[in-house]
Amino acid sequence: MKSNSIARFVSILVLLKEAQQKVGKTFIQKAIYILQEGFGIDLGYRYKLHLFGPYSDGVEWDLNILENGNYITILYDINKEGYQISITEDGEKFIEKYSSEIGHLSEKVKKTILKILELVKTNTAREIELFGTVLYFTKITKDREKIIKSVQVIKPYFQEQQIEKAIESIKKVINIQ
Amino acid sequence: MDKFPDKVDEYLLLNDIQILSWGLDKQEYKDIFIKRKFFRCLYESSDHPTPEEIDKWEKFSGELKKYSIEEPHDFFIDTAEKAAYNFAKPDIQIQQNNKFKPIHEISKLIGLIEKLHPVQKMRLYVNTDKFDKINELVNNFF
Repeated sequence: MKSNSIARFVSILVLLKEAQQKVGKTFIQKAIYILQEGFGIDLGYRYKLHLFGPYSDGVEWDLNILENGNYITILYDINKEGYQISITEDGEKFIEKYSSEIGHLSEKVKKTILKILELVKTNTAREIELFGTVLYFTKITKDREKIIKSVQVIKPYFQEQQIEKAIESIKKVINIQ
Repeated sequence: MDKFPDKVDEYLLLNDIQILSWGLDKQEYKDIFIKRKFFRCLYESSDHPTPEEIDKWEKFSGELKKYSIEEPHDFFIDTAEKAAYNFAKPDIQIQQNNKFKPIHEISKLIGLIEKLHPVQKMRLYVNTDKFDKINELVNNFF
């Protein structure tokens, strides 16, 4: 039997490996959201809209489980006012060990994560927060004005021009139904 | 339950006896209350399961299907994730100097709690009719 959990764990670990730097929880939440809802790789996470955009309890849950197994480290950085999460050596071994178990999905996850990282070139939480939120509203409505206004309601610190640019970037790489 | 009245006044008149009598209308509930045929906890994970442990539990559910033991009729797995108070929920945000900050940055006490790992224990509950068979499978599998 194929394990859904393994696909979720491998996806988070591949994201952390390919990011090649420490990232925060917001970054992981949104990247996995784009992976699942934007590129259709169903990992079984349920998302809802939160202050920083789409949020899944399940992702947070799995981060704790990966930390229990010493596959990732989660540290709170008081200077950066946020979590700094990175993959451990054991985490990289976990990817190698379990990738075969999820078959072709492993390669698909890796390719898609590279596309997401290309989309968010600076790897900042703020940027991916915008992409995740724009995608969230893009899936609800095709009306550009409504998307911009909805994003501005919950994220007033983003300029209209930034949101426009995010919509364009997302449409270039994601085929939104 | 469709028996609950729509009007508040009628709703407030309900008492334990009324609710229990509704429960005893159904044989299934009668068995649970009178014959004590409720699901029993048979096995549990560690407090902080690792990915391997989670994977093993998921595979065990698949193993049970081979013996026509189905969820939720014969068993269910309860996880802390389903609890009413979910520790995986994001921090409460506090507005300070026109900026939202997670509560653990503002409160030292919350900051200490934040460092504790949430309990992610899973428990396997089984129908008493299938208890022995599932127990045998648990002993062989885990």
